[in-house]
Amino acid sequence: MIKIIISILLKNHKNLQKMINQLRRPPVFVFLIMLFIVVFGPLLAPYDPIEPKPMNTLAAPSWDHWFGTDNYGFDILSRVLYAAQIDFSLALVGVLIGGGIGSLLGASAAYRGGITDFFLLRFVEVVQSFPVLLFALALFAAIGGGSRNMVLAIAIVNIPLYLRIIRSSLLPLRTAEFVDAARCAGLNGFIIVIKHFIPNAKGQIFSLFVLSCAYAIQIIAGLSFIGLGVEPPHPEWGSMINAGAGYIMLGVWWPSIFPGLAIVISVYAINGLSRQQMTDQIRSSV
Amino acid sequence: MKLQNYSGSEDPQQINKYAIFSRLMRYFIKRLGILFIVLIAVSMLTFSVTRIAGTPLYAAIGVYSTKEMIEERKEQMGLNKPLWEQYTNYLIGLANGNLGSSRRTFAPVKDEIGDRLPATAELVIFAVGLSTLWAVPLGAIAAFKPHGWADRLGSILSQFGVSVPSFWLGLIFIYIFYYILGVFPAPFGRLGGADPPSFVTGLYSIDALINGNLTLFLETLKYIAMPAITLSFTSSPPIFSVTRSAVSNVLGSQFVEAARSYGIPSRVIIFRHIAPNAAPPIINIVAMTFGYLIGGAVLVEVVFSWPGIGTYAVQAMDFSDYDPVLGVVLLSATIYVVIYFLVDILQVLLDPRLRE
Repeated sequence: MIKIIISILLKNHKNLQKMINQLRRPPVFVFLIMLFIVVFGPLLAPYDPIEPKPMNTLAAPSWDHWFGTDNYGFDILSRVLYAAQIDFSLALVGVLIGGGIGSLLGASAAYRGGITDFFLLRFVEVVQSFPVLLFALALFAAIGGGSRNMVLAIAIVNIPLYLRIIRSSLLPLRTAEFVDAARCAGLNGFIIVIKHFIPNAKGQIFSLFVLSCAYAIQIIAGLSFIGLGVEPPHPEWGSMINAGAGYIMLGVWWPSIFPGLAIVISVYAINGLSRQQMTDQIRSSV
Repeated sequence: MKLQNYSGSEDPQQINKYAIFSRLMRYFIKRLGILFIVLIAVSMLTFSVTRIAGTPLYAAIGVYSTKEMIEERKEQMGLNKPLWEQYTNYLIGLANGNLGSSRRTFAPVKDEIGDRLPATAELVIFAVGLSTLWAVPLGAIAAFKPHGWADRLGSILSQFGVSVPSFWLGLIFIYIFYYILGVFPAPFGRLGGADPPSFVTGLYSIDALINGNLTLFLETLKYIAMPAITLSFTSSPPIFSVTRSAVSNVLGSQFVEAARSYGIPSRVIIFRHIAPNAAPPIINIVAMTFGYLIGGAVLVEVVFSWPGIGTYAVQAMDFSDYDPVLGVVLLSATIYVVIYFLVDILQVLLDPRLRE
């Protein structure tokens, strides 16, 4: 799908029909709506997300406040819309950093083999032996919480995922002829890894990228839920759910349910996109 | 024929057995070595966190200490020694079960974790048991009839389980089953305010049964139901998909086809040929899920005020009390790595093909 969007951007109108066909697919459609909300969310929001209205706390959903208001009188709809931008950008940055480093290391492990491979795989095992949230807790104990360190945590958690999968998909290339040829031509290892190894894992990297964005959104929400990520009053889905959690036993459901729905829909849309892409790949390879 | 004579009086079958045994031992030792390396690396990580966070000194001194007092304290705690010596001391401490002490309650972290681990273990056992109960049969049926009802139901449930955040699902359950329907009690820990059964295993439901207190047993089940169902939802998708692919792999193999063509009844094929061959990966994923959830149930524990190690770590984090956090991190990572190791060994023992 990305290819098609790029070709549209390059004014290749032959693909317009293909693009319209893509839009008919539900995951792509939902994902594009999500993307729209992420980009234009702040413009759509009816109220200021951090402007408290002390006279109007915990108001039920109504025409004035579609999603109701929370315990400080913040408008929940506005906060959900603003938070989309924060959540997505944090996830994207973290995954880009972690995925980049992880793919590079994975490709090097596949290329070098031997002791490099052994130690990189042990590194993977070490990082993956921690449950993600507890790993982030330990990291935050060392360097403090906040959104910047949360991005760091997401990057570190993503490195082993990419390392392992890119490595195993590139492993057969170590003995490939074109790699031997490149070596004979006098290219050094780093350039071979960048120019000849990584392009061969493009498909894997992309589908992993999509999946890990979804995963990252959940991690961000989870960390903010226990009060360690994005600090309130900045709108973030996880911390909004946390703010409403205490009221749900009293029957006040809207402060928690709506931000959670936003998480579910975005994660579902992203996962659906990756599933769609996988079936496309299988179909085109048959 | 000549080759057999060449090997002398010994039975070739026997030689083969020795070879397999020595190979098994070599594999075992190699895995043990890797386990050791990973554990060392994990401990190095937590050690470096304690040094970066500056916990040992910060915890020990008050605000009004003079420079001399700080120096003296440093000497006492061995913080002036070279780093590797501090690390060995840390390891020796760990080997003796010394995880430091809480800055808030002044109790040793080891004891506090010991009190809370059974709560987490009980929750995780129920959750994984529940997941296994529904995800394994569903996955198997889905493999027999791809695109059938079981396949559809399973994939819808696992897509849902992957997309939904566990803490939010927990809140929804609280709203529906506590606030609206009133089926389950309020989410306040393992038994609300009631007295726990006398200590045998630390798992309240088992203890209540051992004591013969049936009403208490039912009560514990009521309290554990919501968190366990929540965890089961979010942890079962891998179990479902692994079961499905394992069974469908076996279904496509030649020996099943051969057994079918012999006219062996399908009930026999399922239990005699398919089940044992599909079991190892399923056992693997169930054990791994269990190992992961010990430390991975944090969010659900927090939502239901479940007094397990996850809630403990999060509460300690709120007070910048780092020893408990690191204790929990170290413990759950160790449990996960050890289970991973055991599962790997078990895999080789279960599946003769892997011994080659």
